[in-house]
Amino acid sequence: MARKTLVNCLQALGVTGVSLTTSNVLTAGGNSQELYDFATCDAARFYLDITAITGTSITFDLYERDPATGVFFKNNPASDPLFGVAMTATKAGLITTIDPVYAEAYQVFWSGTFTSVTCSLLAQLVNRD
Amino acid sequence: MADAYVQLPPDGAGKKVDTFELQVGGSTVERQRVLVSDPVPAGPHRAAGGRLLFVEDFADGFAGMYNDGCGSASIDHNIRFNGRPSVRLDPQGNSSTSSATGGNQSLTLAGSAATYTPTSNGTLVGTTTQAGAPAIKTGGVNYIVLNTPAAAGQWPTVSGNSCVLTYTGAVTTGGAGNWTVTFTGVNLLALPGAPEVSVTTANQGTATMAACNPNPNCTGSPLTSGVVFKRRVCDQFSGRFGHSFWFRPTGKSAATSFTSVFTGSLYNRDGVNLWAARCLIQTAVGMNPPGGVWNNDNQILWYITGVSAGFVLVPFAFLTRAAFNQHSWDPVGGTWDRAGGWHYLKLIADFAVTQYVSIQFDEAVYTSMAGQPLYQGIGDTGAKMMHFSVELAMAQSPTRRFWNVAKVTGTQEQ
Repeated sequence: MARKTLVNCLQALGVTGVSLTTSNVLTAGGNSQELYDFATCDAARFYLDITAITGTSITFDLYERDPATGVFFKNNPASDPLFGVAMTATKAGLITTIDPVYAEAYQVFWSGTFTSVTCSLLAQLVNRD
Repeated sequence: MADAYVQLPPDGAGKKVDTFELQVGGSTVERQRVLVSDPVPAGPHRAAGGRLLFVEDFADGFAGMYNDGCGSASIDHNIRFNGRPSVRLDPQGNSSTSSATGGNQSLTLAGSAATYTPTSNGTLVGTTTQAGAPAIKTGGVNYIVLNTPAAAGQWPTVSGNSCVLTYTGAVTTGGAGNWTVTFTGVNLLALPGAPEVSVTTANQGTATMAACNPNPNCTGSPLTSGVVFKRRVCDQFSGRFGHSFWFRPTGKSAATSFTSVFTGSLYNRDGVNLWAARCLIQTAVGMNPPGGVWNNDNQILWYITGVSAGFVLVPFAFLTRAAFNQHSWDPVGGTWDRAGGWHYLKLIADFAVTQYVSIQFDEAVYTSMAGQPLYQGIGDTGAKMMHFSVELAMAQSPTRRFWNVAKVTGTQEQ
């Protein structure tokens, strides 16, 4: 049976484990910390829930780490319903699956002309060992 | 098979046998305690005493421990230990500048050159051009580190070796931008591993000294501006516990001068106080060995005691004869050594009396802190649990550096 673990993809740099929450209020563009938990999984399924949004829209982008340079670059498939798509309204259970997961680390960026977005973005990592 | 006993002659006056008393078949008997053990090795060894509470070896690729601080503590299959993955501690660029230098006072060496021995009882002068008065600890024994940098023209000692001095008094004079501190009762601290029993100061006016706590340091409470990687076990201050783990500085220049704050901690809270045993490894300590060349791949070990903001870090050893910050793994930085060099740290504390028992670093067990009080953080109403913790922060620099830990083990000790 596959083993699964959760990663909070909105944990920003500087946020401690103590103050980490599931539902976050985003008021400006930003990015998550570098998420190295992906290095040990076979597949990942992302879950986006937006419970409130004011302003125009927010867009989440998934960046992948180049192990040679350490630089993160955008790697959103064109057909991805979650990443690279402007979200203008509340959402419940919007999902994206990456299978297999090739990169050792990802980073989530969020941008747009929003005033406030209350949302959670979790990744369920699947390990098939 | 029925219970039975063999009756001995009445109590004698010779050596005593360790027993406990209980009822067997209606009779009060003495049951002898037996410990099966190997002979104590004569040479260097890694102690494994104590009853195991847990071993976190990350064998299945999942961490049962938690990063309660910033940055990340993630499973690392590139850096393995005993064939199992380790955990990479990475502050991810969080700088602990404001929180990792507390209780330290940097001064410029001044006055005249002087020679210090363990009994010299001399004076030492330092100056600073800072605006506010320097924060100098007084009362009891306090410490000054003379750490030699690469440039010989800035060495605070003639030999080029670093040292720790103690002082018993300090008088601060002057005013804003022009402070002078005169330390009295200054002696050379004869630490295990210290290369010299006498040091002479040099380069007054250019060399520096770190008075009071080392720079950087871990402060009293867990440094959450860095990684705080921990397991919690509930215990109501019942007795002695041990916390051990293996670690290596992994990233390129992971133990750079005045940057890395790496500690192992074993602490508990009683609802009012935090009681902590903690070992700080001060890295990048300069030494100039006879027949060798100056290098700063040396360390000073410290343990923490004191109360709340008055925390005191006490040095207890120099490490000069084994590599520490070499053979890094950092593909982005162009280094590819998976094996690296692993170190071992074990803290033992007695929470029933809130005192240290011992600290082991690699092959050496140090007991100079035995009986010394654990650090007490008054008014700490955090989780009333015993924490087995490893911390890594980057002081005074957002540069990416990371370390790895493996086989984190908790024990109940005799």
